[in-house]
Amino acid sequence: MASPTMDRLLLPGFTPQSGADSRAKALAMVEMATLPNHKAEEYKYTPLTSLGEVAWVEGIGTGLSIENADALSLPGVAQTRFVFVNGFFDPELSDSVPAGVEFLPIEVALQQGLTEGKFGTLANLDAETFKVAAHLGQLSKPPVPFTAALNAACFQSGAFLKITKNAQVEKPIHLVFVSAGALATSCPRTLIVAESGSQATVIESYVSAAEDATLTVPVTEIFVYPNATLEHIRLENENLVAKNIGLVEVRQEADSNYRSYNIVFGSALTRNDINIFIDGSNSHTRFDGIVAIGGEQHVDNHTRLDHVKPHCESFEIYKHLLSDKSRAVFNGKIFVHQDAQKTDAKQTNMTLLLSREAQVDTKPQLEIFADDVKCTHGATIGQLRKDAMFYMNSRGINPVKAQALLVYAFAAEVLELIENDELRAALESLLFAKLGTERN
Amino acid sequence: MLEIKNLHARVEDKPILKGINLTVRPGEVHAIMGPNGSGKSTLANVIAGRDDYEVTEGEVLFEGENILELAVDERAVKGLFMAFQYPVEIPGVSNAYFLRSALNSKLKAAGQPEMDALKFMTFVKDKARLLGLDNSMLQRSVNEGFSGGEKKRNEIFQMAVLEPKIAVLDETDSGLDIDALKVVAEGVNALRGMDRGFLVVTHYQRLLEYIIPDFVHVLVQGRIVKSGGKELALELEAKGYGWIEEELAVQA
Repeated sequence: MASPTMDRLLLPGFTPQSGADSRAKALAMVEMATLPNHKAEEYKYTPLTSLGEVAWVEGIGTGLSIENADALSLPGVAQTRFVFVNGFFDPELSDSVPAGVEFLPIEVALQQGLTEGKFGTLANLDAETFKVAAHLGQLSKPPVPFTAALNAACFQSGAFLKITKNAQVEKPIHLVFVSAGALATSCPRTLIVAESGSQATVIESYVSAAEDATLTVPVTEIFVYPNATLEHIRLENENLVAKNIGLVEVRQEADSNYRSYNIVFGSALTRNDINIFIDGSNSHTRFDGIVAIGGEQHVDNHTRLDHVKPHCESFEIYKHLLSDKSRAVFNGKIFVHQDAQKTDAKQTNMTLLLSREAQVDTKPQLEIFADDVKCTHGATIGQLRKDAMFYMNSRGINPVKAQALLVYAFAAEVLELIENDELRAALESLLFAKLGTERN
Repeated sequence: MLEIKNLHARVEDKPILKGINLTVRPGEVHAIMGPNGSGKSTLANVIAGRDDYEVTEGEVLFEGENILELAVDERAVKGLFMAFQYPVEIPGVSNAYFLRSALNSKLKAAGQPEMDALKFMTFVKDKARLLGLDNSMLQRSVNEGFSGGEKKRNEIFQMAVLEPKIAVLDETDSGLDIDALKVVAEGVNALRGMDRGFLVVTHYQRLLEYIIPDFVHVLVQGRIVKSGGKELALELEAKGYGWIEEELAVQA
């Protein structure tokens, strides 16, 4: 029997499909669960109970114009884009699949994977015939966190993306998730597989078609196979009444590189759980975040990194820029397992409070079970330097622009690592726009 | 061009400036000298608009307009410039971007077209050379990791780029060795001209050997107690500030 609050989220349209047992199990779990409130440790600062107070409706996967899609997908950046409206793939708004890449709506991939046990219909398969069913749900296992269960129970659609073995994909691949329609909900599911030796940049954007309140519960699973390099940009840029409760699960194998940027400018409420499991030695992980918010926006990022094998490096820096009455939460866990000797892990969280009413709660959490490792963490919270403001003003730069420059300088450390110039410039422009000034 | 009339200012409850009167006409270089704590730097910072000070009386007219009513950046785009005693480091903002933003703010206020990055670079490279600054400094963060001398040269470089109508130099010479001082002075002298006024605040007469002032004013306890030509600076150097303070005591 579903609890009254959960009923609101389990819409009539969401029924377990494809005969997947795991789906039925997830549904059962969600039905048993209640929305986490502030008493749950992991939701202490971001209770989700308010989600149950809204009469959500199932989002429909149509109705977006090509002009709207263009405007929402980082114009000016040469890219291969795949557009999803409320989680449903729209081929009319999307580009054709480039060399070195396999793409399918996940529901199609899942059906094929389940019924045939392989991608019999896909061309250019390499030796390790890929099974979606074997990957999907391997990383994201309900009931922890709550998001995993809800998405597993409810998802109807999403993206399956594979970078094939040794492929070097030049243009960034952009998965554009557009939320559209009053009180529309969607639970898009994304599976990204970077096969060995491949290299690519994948952007996962969450944007709004208009000014409607929406709820998106996305789950993204990512496999980075040996010697692969994956750059992953996750951009939350929805309108200021949208809510987004997301989960990213990453598994890295030996000699792999995973560089990710979790960028949050939009939404009324964002909760992200980002979990990275490094399951092979000599891997490099960089997972950074920028949260630039104002008004009454609330953004909570929970990250967890597991160092399981020796000789791996990880670097994490999260920067918060908080204006008005906005509130951010950062919880960064790093686990260094017993066998993960020679681990080099560094975590930093820096916050700039741009108003007296902005608030941040930051909680680094390191648990180290190996004895020959280097692990550091640090958190700073500060305000804009008054002397730097005066200096810039005295040169004629007005306070709004000066603040934007100082704040940009603070955030630049994260964005400047993005190698694609167009992409970096587009993200910088979004940041400047968010800070209320034009970049020139 | 710059008229300071009966200017009073305080920090918290402590009066610092107690009625300053001073007029700088185009083309003139005025030196303000005085012992520590006399209010020299306060005067420079009040003109620039630093909000640590409260003006309790008086006016500062710039081209006839009371600039005490204006925000710091509004004063700057009208053509007022202060070279800082302690230039500020701004990590993450390049000198080039900083200075182009400043210049474009000024151009925009004057209704002129703004400069793009390419045009700006050609424009500034000559000015950088004038001050013995390596072009690579343009890509470095503002003042970050600069030596004391480099920071002061950077101030004068900024002045050269922004071409103000009135420049206030707040102890630009303090802490400089003689070579750095000469470079700074050459930079200032190159900018002297019929249409530009300077207010040079200094503790030491040495600077005035290289930047020859038209007028020297002595500031003691928040008032200008003596004004004269450049020879007054020499007299102060020879005798120190003691004799003026004694003269004041006799008058009181």
